[in-house]
Amino acid sequence: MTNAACGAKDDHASVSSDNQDTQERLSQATGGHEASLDQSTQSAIGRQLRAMFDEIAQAPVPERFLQLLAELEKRPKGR
Amino acid sequence: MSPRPTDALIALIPNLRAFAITMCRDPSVADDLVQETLVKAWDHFDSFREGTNLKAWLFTILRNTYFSEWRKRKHQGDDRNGLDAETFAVPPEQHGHTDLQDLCRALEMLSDEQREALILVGAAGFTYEEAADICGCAVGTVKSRINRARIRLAELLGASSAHDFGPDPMTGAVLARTALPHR
Repeated sequence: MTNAACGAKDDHASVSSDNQDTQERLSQATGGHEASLDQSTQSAIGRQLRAMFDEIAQAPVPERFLQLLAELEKRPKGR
Repeated sequence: MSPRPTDALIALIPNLRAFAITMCRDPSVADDLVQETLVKAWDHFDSFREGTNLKAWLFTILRNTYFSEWRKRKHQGDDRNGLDAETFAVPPEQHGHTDLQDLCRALEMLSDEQREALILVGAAGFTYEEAADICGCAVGTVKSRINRARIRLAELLGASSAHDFGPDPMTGAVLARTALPHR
């Protein structure tokens, strides 16, 4: 079973390119009005969110979904 | 020639699974949610407008299914507030996994709406506008949810001192209870 989120490699280097973008977008959420979190905390949260998500998304597609879609293709619906 | 619809769906399954797991916590429940999403998507594929954002369309189906049906189902059998959590209170042993484990646990302490907004924009790569469409709310609401989510996460992660989640029995038990189960 996928337990990727919590068993993830903590490989910060691999997500650093996405980190800045995520960090920027997350920091926009404050609108600059509220006392902002310190940068290292913001940075860590953004980086870890992305790392967690990517780690799960890198898992191979389970066979059950490939079978499901093969069955769905045989149905009259869809296109 | 456009690719077969099933190929387009398959390509997005990893993202759907990641989103579902962050919403549901339980990976097997999450995969059931993904399966239902795929079936609904297939059955309503003629309502998807070609050229628009398939990923956003699928995420919308998934989150609507989760919020309208699955959230209730989950809470019925959910003992996250139970006090039998002590047995799960095992501090992370492997250094380097600590940050992500802390994050998983902290995410579970957020409301579904805050977690959803944070994941959509902060991890899944959607813009605020796309996230607002997916969630069916105003852009300002998305921003507000993300802001509150981030502050709450910082509090939670700060409380665990970010790099060394200590074996505080009470906090550890509560937080560990909400982690993704090991299977």
